[in-house]
Amino acid sequence: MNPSDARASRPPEAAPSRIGEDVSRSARRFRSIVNQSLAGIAESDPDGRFINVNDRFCEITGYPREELLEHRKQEIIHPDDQPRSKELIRRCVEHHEPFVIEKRYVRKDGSAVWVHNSVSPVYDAEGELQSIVTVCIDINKRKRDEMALRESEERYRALAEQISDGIFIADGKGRYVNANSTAATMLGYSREELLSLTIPDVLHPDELVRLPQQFERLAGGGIVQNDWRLVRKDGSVFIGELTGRQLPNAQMLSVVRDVTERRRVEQALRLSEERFQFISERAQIGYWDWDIVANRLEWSPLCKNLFGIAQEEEVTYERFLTALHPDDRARTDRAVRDCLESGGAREYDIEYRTSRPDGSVHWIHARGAAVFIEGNAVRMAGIVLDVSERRRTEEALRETTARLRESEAQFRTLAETVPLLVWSCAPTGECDYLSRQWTEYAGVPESRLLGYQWLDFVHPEDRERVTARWRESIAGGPAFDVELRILGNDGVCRWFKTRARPHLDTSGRVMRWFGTNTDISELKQIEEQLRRANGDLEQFAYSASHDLQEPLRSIKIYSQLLEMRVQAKLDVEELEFLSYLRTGAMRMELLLRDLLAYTQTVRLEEPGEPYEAAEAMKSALDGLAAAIAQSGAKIHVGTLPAVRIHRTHLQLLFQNLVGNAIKYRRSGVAPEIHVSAKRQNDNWLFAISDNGIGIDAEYQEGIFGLFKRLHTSDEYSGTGIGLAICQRMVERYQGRIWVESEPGRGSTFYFTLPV
Amino acid sequence: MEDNKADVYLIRHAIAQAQIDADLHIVRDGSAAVQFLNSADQDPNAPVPDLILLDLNLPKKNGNEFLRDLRNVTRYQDALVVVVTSSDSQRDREAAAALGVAGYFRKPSDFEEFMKLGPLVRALLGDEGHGHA
Repeated sequence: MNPSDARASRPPEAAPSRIGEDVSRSARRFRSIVNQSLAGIAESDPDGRFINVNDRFCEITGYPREELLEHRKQEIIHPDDQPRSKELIRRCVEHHEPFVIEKRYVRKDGSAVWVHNSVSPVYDAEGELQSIVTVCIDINKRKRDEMALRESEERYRALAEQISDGIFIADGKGRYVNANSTAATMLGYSREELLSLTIPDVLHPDELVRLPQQFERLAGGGIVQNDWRLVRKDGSVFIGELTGRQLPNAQMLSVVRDVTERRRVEQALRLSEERFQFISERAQIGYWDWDIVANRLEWSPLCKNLFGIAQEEEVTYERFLTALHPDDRARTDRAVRDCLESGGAREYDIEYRTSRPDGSVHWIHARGAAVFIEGNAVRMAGIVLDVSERRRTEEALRETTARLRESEAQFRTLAETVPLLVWSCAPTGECDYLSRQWTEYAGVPESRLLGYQWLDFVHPEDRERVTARWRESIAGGPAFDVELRILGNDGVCRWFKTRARPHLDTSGRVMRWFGTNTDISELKQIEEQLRRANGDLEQFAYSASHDLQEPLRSIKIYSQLLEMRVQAKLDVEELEFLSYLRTGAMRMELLLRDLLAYTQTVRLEEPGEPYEAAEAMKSALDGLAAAIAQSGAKIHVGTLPAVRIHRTHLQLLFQNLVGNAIKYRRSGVAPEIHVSAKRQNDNWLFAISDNGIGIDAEYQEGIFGLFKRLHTSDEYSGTGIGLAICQRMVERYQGRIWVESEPGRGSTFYFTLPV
Repeated sequence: MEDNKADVYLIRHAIAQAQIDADLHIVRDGSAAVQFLNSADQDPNAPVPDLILLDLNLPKKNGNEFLRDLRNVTRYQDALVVVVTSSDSQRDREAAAALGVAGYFRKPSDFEEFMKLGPLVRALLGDEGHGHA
């Protein structure tokens, strides 16, 4: 209520007592004021009958004055307000008190009008109620506004009640002063309970620390929008998304939405998204998604990287095409369109090159598929993968294969050209290739020889030996090197020398065996002839040395006998003839003996066990005892090793060399002979040195030849076979023999024998 | 048994020089030697040689073959045999030893040496110095 209205409605206390002398002037003036008043003024008698009304009152009630004066005041009061009005009048009259009331009048046209009435009773001098004055103000508009406001408030409240967000209003101290039912339900409280709580009461303890800062922000007029952990009455916690602001009356309004589920889903989504990102990045898979309807192309970061497109750059299908190698654009465009027009029948699967700004070229494998609605492609999505490395590997493999094929061809050409039977085997030993020469020699196709079938063409006597040796070799044993007979297409078995070498990879593993068979049948024939010739020769030498000795012996003995019998009858010259006869026979005997020794050097088998060289030396010196005694030789023998050589051979060797050292002594100088041996790598080096006549450098090599002599038998007897025997024996044992000498000072004969 | 006349003379000379009183039968080749054995076998009165001097290099049938045959005849199983040969080969020595010979005399190329056959035979026959050879 307007305070000025209230004052105006209060009737002057002294008014009734002043009605007297000047009443008519006063009444006129009063009338004039009343009529000009903005308020309606009506005077009614104690019965309620209108006595006076001003214009404004008529205006408010909608009745002409004349009509009003015929009515009683109660008659125009809205029925709903009558009881209240009547009661107030009664109390007013009874207690002589003015009162105010807001009530409705029913206007003449039947409509209701809200009025604010100040009602004052007027009494005469006797205190009798004379009339009732009503000052009436039209408050219809205000009332309407109030009602509209109330209605709006109610609607708003209903709305607030209905929405699923909790609405909280708290005062400046954080006490809840209002909340909708959702807010209460959300927290598990009744509204009343909620309104007895403060903001901190419903927050998770951990959230309290950031509360002051948030209040400060709200106080500054800011809007707060964030998540809070809230605690329900039962102690359970949920996440509320809060939007808060300060109301003009300094209260705080916050709208809270339970987003626990949404956050969980969001979290799950984010996790899933992150996982997808992680995987696609680790796998280096880029992905793209093309909304064809909106023509929006979305590329993953990796996708852009693969194309050399900046992350911030927008990508369109056209931009995509320009990022491709010029030669691949048309082809890729066709593949995309083909997929889009296929209605779902065909996927997009292609490898193309990207042409990056830095000039590098990358091979990309792209796959994708389109989504169709009523046969129209609306979306297409897929992945891209950098396959440059794979392409390079493939390329390298292709090159290697080509080179390998070329090298294989070269090998075959060579294998088919050389005059050998060439073959190869798998590491396990099965034959996987035989050259044309092989098949032609055997007269059957390769398929009849592969694996181990070739064994059918090996001479039965050789099969077991060859197979055993082959198994040994492929198992890592000694290199395969055998001689065997192979049946030719002419039915003749020929000798072959077969060799195989493994081809190893870098780690030393056998990848393949390569072998050759060399026809050695001619060699074998020659060998056989040689062996026979050798045998004949040996037999000849043996027979000769025996059979030729028989007559020689007779010549010697009978010339001796003759000399004994007829010596006295012969003259000097005849006796000399006889001695020629005898020395001739003697020389012949020596020759035959040495020749026999020479042939024997090849006949003795190699001993299995090593033999003490010192023992051979002792036997040799025994045999030379007469010569040693006669020459006065001094022989010094050092420590000698055990050697793997036949005793007879070694003895003969020593006998010849020491014998020579004695024989070729300087006249007048007693032989001084040293025999020693020392280890030299895998050999024993024997040395027999003397202080004899020595040998001229030009003859030092030749003296080992058969029948090679440097002196006449008058100077030094000898057959010229001794050193030849020595050389032959030493070489038989893979040794070497030579001499170092200084003529006039002595010689040293060296020979080596394997340890 | 000796095919070489020159050696036959020397053998006789060596035995004579050693003053051995013996009936000396000479056969000149292997088949003749076998014949001699056979006839001796059939005639119980035929003399059994106390000692056989055997040259290994005999014509027709060599000494080793003869030795084998000899040992198959019961009467001669224990006959003393001395191999007299020019061979010095180990092989021949071993073959002879295997067939059980009393001595092995390598024919030397010196007269005096050859004469040493006499004392050897004498030693084998015992002190009497006589018998069939």
